[in-house]
Amino acid sequence: MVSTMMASGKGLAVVVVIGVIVALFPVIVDVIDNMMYEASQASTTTTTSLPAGVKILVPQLVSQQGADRLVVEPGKAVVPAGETIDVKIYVYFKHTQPCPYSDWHVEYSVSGGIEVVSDDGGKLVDPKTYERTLVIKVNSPGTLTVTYYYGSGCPEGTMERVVAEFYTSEEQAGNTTLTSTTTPTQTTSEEETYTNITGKVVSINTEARYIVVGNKSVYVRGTWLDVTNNKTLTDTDVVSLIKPGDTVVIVCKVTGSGRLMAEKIIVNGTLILERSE
Amino acid sequence: MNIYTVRRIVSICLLISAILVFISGIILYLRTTHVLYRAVAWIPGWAIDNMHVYAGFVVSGLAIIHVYLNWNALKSYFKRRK
Repeated sequence: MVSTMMASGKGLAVVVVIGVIVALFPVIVDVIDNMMYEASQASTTTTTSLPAGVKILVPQLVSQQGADRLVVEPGKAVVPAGETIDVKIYVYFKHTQPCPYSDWHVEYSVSGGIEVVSDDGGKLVDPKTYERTLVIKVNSPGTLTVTYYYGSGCPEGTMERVVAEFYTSEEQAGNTTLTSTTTPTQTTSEEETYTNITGKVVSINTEARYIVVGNKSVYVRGTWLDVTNNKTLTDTDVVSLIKPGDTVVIVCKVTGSGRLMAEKIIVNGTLILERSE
Repeated sequence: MNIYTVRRIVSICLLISAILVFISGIILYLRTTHVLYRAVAWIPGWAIDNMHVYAGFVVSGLAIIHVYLNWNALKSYFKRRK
């Protein structure tokens, strides 16, 4: 029977089609899953209402150095002084929980005029998603640093960290307004892509004005503002401020050629923002 | 395209995919160990996960075609020798 079908070529064609469908099964599933995810995200966005006077400049910040993804919403916002805002922290696990490295945890710290009013403690909403809600009060500009530590011994990564910024007026927030939605791994505007880099400084090139963190070179250009000490710095000053071995958190803009340009640096508790025109 | 060409392409792709599944399987297994995982820690987990999953499905798809192309031979294996 098979030989007869083969002779006509129809049987072979049918089997090839079946084989291709089986081989592409994960791709087909991914496409359907992404469509369903985008649909659910869109419906979530439309039902969210913001308190009066609150303006979201960066909808979310994402860190995914390892396998799991840390998301903080919002990433940057203007909140009237003394008002509160809900901050959502999500960890999307690569593997279902509980995993063999179950002592993972999420920590946060605040700086400036930020005060955490309430914390629901967080919970697993499904085997691959952790959700935590903080209510923060913004008295004056400040930051919320959220760190997700992988379980000890976990081969998938060590930690994910993002720094959310809160301001009481748009002037303080500067002109780095990002209004569009975000991709799963990066914060993006219509034309600009941002990424977070966290780690120890391996080396610094003061002449070329770049910092090497891990295996990535981050360029420092323009005029900067040391928010903690309220000082204006040149790019050379910023590079000189950082020493090999320092732990830094850098928010970078990825240029069209793939070069990483630093826009915000936190080093030794000092927040420095790029302020070039 | 004659049937020999189809057999050749399917067999070579099947062999390559199977090797990929085998190698990624070894790496994934090593990642579950306490000490030996260090030897493969430099390889991104997501890359190996994806390679293993996608190559696995490619092997399955090619295996269906391979079985079809070798149906007569396969059938003879189940027949008793007289």
